Amino acid sequence: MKTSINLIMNGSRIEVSVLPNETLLDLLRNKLDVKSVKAACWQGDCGLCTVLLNGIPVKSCLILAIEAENSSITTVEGLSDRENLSKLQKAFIKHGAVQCGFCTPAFLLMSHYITSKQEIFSRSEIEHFLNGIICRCTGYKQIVDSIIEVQEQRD
Amino acid sequence: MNTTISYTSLPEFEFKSPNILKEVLSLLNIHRSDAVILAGGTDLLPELRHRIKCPKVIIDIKKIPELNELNLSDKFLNIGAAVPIAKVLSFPKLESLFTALYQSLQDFCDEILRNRATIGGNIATSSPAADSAGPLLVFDAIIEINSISKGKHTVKLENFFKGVKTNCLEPDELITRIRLPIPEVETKSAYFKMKRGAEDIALVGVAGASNKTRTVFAYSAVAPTPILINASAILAQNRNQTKEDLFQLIWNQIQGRIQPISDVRSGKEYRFHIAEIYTRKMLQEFLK
Repeated sequence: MKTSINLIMNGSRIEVSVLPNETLLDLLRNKLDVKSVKAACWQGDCGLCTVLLNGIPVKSCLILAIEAENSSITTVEGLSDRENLSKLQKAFIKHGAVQCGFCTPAFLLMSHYITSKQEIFSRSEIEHFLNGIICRCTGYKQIVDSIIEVQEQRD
Repeated sequence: MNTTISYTSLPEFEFKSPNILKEVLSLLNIHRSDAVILAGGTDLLPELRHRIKCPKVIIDIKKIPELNELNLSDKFLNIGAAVPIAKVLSFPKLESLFTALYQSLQDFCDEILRNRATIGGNIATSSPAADSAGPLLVFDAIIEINSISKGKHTVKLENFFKGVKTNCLEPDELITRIRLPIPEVETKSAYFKMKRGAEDIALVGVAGASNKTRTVFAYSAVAPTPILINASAILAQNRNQTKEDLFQLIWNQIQGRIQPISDVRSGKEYRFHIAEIYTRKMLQEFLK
């Protein structure tokens, strides 16, 4: 049985109808056409389907769409527009933190979450934060470098 | 009609998301084994994908206020069944009072999954490798259960697990809280975990807690269920022995209880070896 749910998708209020057995990942990719949220392992290991649910990173393959009712969802499209990249996106480009690019949306969302916290984190703390997302190109150093640079730019 | 079973899809079910506990219990009372409880979903969704579970009804418990409570009261730390592990970790006194639990939760799956996964779910799943089980066992955790047929009652965690992924919960019963008695002052505790990579489950998990009168160890991934071993009597009766002799006496007792298997993650000999090394190392720290 379909249920209609309300969401705030990257700042815009939307209403969609979902089936109970649709995951948030299914909803984002197939109904809302957000292809930056990647479908890879389907069991919470790789982290490439990470989105921010009410500002908190979650793996959308492990959440039913219906559980997200009345929540706000942020995908990488919500971090900036094409003309004005965020500081993190610029840092990712500068440090070569994008290789094949498949994991980049997930890492940008996680990096946004880390840098929006009040504290300044050490390299090992940042690495610990990132341990739920897998980069198959194994370019982790550049990603951590980008986060450290953005942290340092803050006052 | 599409009849292909794919890991990218979930089986069909009815979804219920009650706002009050009574409604959860009455749904469980009606649907019993046809229903499963959804808390964080980090175990349940992969099980649905692989058709290990195909429930008729899924009952989400995250909207129930009392299941989201996390507080210190009348000598207990109370953890509601729907409280995500990230929230438990941020509880101010957790590290100082329950060091072993803090250490196990810090290393529990990964940063992102901890925002959803719950201790209630970890205990209800009853995996032999459950990371939170060992630390909860050494702190004498009490599992609070509720159902319409039996009402609110408690079971010591030590008596909760029955086998690999099985426990004493009846089909109509719900875990509502995990209650941890505040340990005596000067209780030392620790959790050592051997694993393969950043987000792996334990190949062997050893938890321990020790104070003047009580020293206990708990083991995960070396028996069909997490197990608790009380070493207090051995330590009390052999005060003049060397640390290594004390270890041997305790290890003799433990050796008879653990029965590791070989699987995709580790061989049984290696599990045995790590359990021994970790127990010795932990005992040495406790006896300092």
